[in-house]
Amino acid sequence: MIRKKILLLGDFGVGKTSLIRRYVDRTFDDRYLSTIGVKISRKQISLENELYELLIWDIEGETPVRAIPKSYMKGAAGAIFVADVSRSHTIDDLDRHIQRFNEINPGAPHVLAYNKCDLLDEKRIQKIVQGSDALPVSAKTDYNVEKLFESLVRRIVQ
Amino acid sequence: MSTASFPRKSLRQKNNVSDLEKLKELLLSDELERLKELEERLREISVECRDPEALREKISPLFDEILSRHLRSKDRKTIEILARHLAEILRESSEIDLPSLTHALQKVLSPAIADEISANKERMIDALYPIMGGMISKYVTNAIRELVASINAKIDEGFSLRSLKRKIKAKVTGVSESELLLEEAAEPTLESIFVIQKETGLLVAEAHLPQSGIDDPTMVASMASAIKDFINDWISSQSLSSIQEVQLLSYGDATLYIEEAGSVYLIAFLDAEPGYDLRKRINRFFSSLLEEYSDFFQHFDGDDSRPEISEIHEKILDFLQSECDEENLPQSERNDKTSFAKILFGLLAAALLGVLLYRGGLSLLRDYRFGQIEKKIAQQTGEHVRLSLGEDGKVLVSGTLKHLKDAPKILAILHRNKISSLRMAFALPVPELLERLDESRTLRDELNTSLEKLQDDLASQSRRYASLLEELNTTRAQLLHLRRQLRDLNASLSQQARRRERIVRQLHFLQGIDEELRRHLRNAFRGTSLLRADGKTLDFRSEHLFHPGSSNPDPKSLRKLTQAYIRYISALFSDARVRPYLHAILVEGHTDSSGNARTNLRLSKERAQKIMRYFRSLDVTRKYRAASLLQAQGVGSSDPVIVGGREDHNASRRISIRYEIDRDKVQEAIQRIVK
Repeated sequence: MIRKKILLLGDFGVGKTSLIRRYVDRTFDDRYLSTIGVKISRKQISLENELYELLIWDIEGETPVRAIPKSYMKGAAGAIFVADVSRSHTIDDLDRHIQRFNEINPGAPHVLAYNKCDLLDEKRIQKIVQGSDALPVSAKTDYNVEKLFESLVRRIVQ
Repeated sequence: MSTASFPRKSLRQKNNVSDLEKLKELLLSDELERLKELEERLREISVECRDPEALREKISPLFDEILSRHLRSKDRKTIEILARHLAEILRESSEIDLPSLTHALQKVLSPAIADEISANKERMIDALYPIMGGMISKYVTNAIRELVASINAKIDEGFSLRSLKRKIKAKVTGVSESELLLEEAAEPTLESIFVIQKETGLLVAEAHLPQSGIDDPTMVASMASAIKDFINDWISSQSLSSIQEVQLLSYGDATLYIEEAGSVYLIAFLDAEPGYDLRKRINRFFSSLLEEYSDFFQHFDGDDSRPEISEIHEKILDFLQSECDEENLPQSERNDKTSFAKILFGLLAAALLGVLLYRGGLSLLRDYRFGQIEKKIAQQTGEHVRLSLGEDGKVLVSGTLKHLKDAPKILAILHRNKISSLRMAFALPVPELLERLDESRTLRDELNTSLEKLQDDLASQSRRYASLLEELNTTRAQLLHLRRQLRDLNASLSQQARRRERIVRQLHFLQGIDEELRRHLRNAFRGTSLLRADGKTLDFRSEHLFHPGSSNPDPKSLRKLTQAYIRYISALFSDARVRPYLHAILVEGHTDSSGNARTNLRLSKERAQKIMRYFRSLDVTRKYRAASLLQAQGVGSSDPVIVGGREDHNASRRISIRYEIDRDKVQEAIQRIVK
């Protein structure tokens, strides 16, 4: 089994924790998130005859009173950048998150997720997603959640 | 004060005195009681003054207080006095109680090392590190700490004031004395050890004792890593430059002791804060892991199937077990171990001193050797260079060169003198360099010109080769076309040759058809007299086939005639090509010459007709479809058989058979072929 550290990054309230909760059946105590700004979950995934254990670091969205410690991002094999499809500024902020991640982990792969796609109609989502390689997901309806994590792992192991 | 000071009087006076005493007792009873107490106290003090131990016991608390006050105020004089006394006490203690090598070395080395470290810390580290490596350096640092602790112990022993040390420590660290007392009494239990990759927070290896209660090491490692990162980040954000890294974390009853080096850090989980000795053992264990697995730690990619992980797990488990056993040892055995550690330290310190002296000697020798080499260089090249040992351990060759050409000579001299690891830091002669640069530029220009010419030539050659290649391809295509034509021509010629052969064979056959038939017949009738000399006529003359005047054949002779006919027909049709060119197979009837010619002619015709019909009825005739070819013909007695000049009448009454070739047909076929 091969362990990999992956990050979930994005603005406050975009649904990172919900995505992990949907994807991972077992979660760690949420108190850790509120105390130190990170919650770590674990999920095993089998891909191409190899078993991977993902240590998913759910890093709390940056707020004026809390900055994300740089050291949390170090050594990540990849990252999922999450935005709220119903709040356009969270999509705009993705560039900033990606840039910061790339500075610390140059060359590490990432995927983009537009969460809460259950809130908008399909036509509008297509219009928003058009031109980007983001994957529309919904933690609420479990739409594309498994696919999202799997696509990141595929990029990591490539 | 003494009672003897009261004056003695007469008896009366005595009585008066007695009365006075009584009066005093009545009036001054309290004061007298107090006086007695004072007398008792004075006696006690007198006794104590004669007993140093008792006196020390009384003074100690006061001394503690005074010393403590002075130390708090950092009174230099007190410290000087204390230091002087300490030195004396140490010296006396070493002479009386500790004659061993360990303490003697400690006495000599500790001030020197302590002074050196405090005065030139960086230099000491630089000097120690390359020689003894990180691990030994770390060990020496720990050993120095042990020495300091040992000195403190000596102070305690000298004064019998264990509490003094505790008080000082409490003042210095800010930890209350009661907590320090608790720490001394409590022996922490090492429950588990984690080795975690620093950057990723991934668990590399871990082991824990069954009672540790850790059920998910991977998550614990990640969370511990996150917590440590969080605190370190907070420290750096608060600009607390004096605090470098988190080393101890406590929550509830658990304490995390964190040591980091290289690409990993080690976290030891304990049930209380570890003491100095335990930290030292953990550090030593960590150093041994680093030494053995540093490469593996550096390149760890999260793959937990690597065999090193189980090895490390076993080592950690062994260490935990040994610590568990250590904890259960009786106090006396631990003291023995401590003594052993002190001896070990002593030996190490002696080795360090030896190494330092050795290095000093080496340095002198090296300077002398460098001087000799510098002289040699000056004599052989006229250049004046200086050799020195660089910070990277390489020999630094410096100076100003007069001529560039001397550089290889200097290198050769250095190599001859076994100096291969070197770094050149020459100042080079600028005019000569410029001259060389001009030469290089000229050479470069010439080379560029040659190169351009070569490129042109190459381009021209390439064009020529392209043209030739094109021609070659055209020629090749033509050749291929010609080859195909030749092949077709050959095939046509072969076909024509075969056709010509076939025609020639046909012509030969047609031209020699008669001769060929004769050859077959001769072969068929070899050894008989049935075939005439012409080779084509079967003459059945000697078998008395017909009786005179009769056209009915004799049955016995007919059987023989039949056999001869079958053989004749079979030979005639043995070549299927003959059949189209046969015009007829004539069956001729003969008579003898007796009787008249007309009768003989009729009889011969009858005989021929009968035999012909008989032949047509035979299977062999049907087989070769020869019935249409059979024709009957009577020749009468025109061809009698003459034997010995006279006619043989029996033989003359006979049948002869011969074939006729259709000459016209043969001629037509020949003409057709020739056309």
